[in-house]
Amino acid sequence: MGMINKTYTGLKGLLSGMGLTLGYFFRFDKVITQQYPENRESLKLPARARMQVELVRESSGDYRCNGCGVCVRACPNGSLEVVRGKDPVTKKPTLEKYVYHFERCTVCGLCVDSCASESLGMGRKFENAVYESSQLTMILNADAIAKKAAEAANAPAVPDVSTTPAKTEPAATPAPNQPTKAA
Amino acid sequence: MHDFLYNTDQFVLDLTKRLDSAIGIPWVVDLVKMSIAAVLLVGLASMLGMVLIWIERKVAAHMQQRLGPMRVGFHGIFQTVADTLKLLAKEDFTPADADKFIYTLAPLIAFVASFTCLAFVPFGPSLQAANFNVGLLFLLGISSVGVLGLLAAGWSSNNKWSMLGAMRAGAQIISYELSAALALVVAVIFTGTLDFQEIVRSQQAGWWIWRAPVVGLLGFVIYTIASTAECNRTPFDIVEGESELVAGFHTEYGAMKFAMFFLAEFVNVFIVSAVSATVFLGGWMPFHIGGMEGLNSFFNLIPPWIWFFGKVMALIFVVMWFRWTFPRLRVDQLMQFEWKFLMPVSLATVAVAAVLATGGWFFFNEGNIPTPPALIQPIAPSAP
Repeated sequence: MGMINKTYTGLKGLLSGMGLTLGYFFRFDKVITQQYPENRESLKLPARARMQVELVRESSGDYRCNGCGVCVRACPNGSLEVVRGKDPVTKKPTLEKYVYHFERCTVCGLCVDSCASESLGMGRKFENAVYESSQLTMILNADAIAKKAAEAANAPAVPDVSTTPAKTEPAATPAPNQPTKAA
Repeated sequence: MHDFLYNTDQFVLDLTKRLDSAIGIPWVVDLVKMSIAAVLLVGLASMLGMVLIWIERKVAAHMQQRLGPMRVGFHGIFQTVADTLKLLAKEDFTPADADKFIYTLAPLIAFVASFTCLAFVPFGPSLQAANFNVGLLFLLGISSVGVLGLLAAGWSSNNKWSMLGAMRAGAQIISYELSAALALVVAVIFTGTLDFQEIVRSQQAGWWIWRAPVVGLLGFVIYTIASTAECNRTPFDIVEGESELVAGFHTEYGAMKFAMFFLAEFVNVFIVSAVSATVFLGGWMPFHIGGMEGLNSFFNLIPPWIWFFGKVMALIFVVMWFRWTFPRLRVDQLMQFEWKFLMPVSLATVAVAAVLATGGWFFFNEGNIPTPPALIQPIAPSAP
């Protein structure tokens, strides 16, 4: 009797396993493989994918970061640099330039955890292949700097806080973010 | 014009006649016929290797919610062609301490053993390279020689993993051969013949899987299990056991020698499925239900060899399905399963089958066969 019982339960287990795999076999919509270069447009990243550090924007479009620099101290391998400025009106420190050395970053996320104002986040850009590691050094608020520079150029001379007009960098900095389209 | 698709008997006869009139010398005619069959079977074997590997990878992928090969050709159909070319172009390597002669001979033994079996597979009426009255017995004998190849490969490689794999192969294949043969005996008791064509013809009224009450189904299941073990496929792949033995007996093999083992494995899968289809599922016989003439004549439209390949492919799918569902057995579990369970069950099945066969207690027994459906001359579709 014991043998029959064992045979029955064993067979039941095997058949239910076969049912499961057969179910998967016919469910083409459940396939999780992503054919990456072809489906770049519709690529679905895992919900918890974190690829590189990004600055969080307010709904107004400005960056939320106030340049306190806690993240710089939290970073174990010195891949963050914050250049602080001072708001001419409120005299509060502001973010001047946020330099991100992605070539040193291990995407540990300690900076994001440490940020008190929740102005850092993990972005989902991952096509970061470049020819030289120096190209991975990026300025995260490059567009804000460019905007400021443009305003400074257009507006009549105001006592200027932004350091020098040598903000030609921003034009070059987005380049590393672009995936190499060669080949 | 389409006649040769259906009436392969006539086709083979015509071919012989033409060869006779063209050549005239009997032994040359035989030689030419043998060469034709050999070339066709070599083509079939290599095609089987490539197609089955592709199917296997696709089945594996979809059972694991993946896509499998997708890049070479439409849905990767040329992936195995590319792989074969790669294997052909690779350096033919022999380990320094290997027994070179046996090392080279082993893949040949394994491949020849499984390739020879193809000669006995009845693809259709008269579509059989070698037909003689003990075909089934001969096939079982020849296929057992394959294990010699595995043993030789493991021994000559001079590698502990190979040796272990080979020893496991020997123990496993020899054990499971008993159950496989006993399961086939169940059907042989009912048919009373070992001739493949006769076995197929005996199933005109119904396939043995259900015509022999219960024991047919039981025999079929036992044969499926035992033959999976004989092919060294998962759940019984302790012979290769990637996680334990690197690759088992073919650890040291590369290039075409490895390809030979691989090919032999897939030809073996085809052979056991073909035997199972022939003995239990009616071989090239179309599926018929007594009394339903419309359905029967519709099934007659499908040529016998397509029926055969359809059944074989279905069985191969089941074997692949096993592979991607079941976990691997331990060595002791494997032996225990065979000697303490499968073997007694198959012996009991044979005993019951013997009683049923001598008593004539099976469906569609000689006396009450309604009228055997016309199979040898199926209705050919009118030419377009």
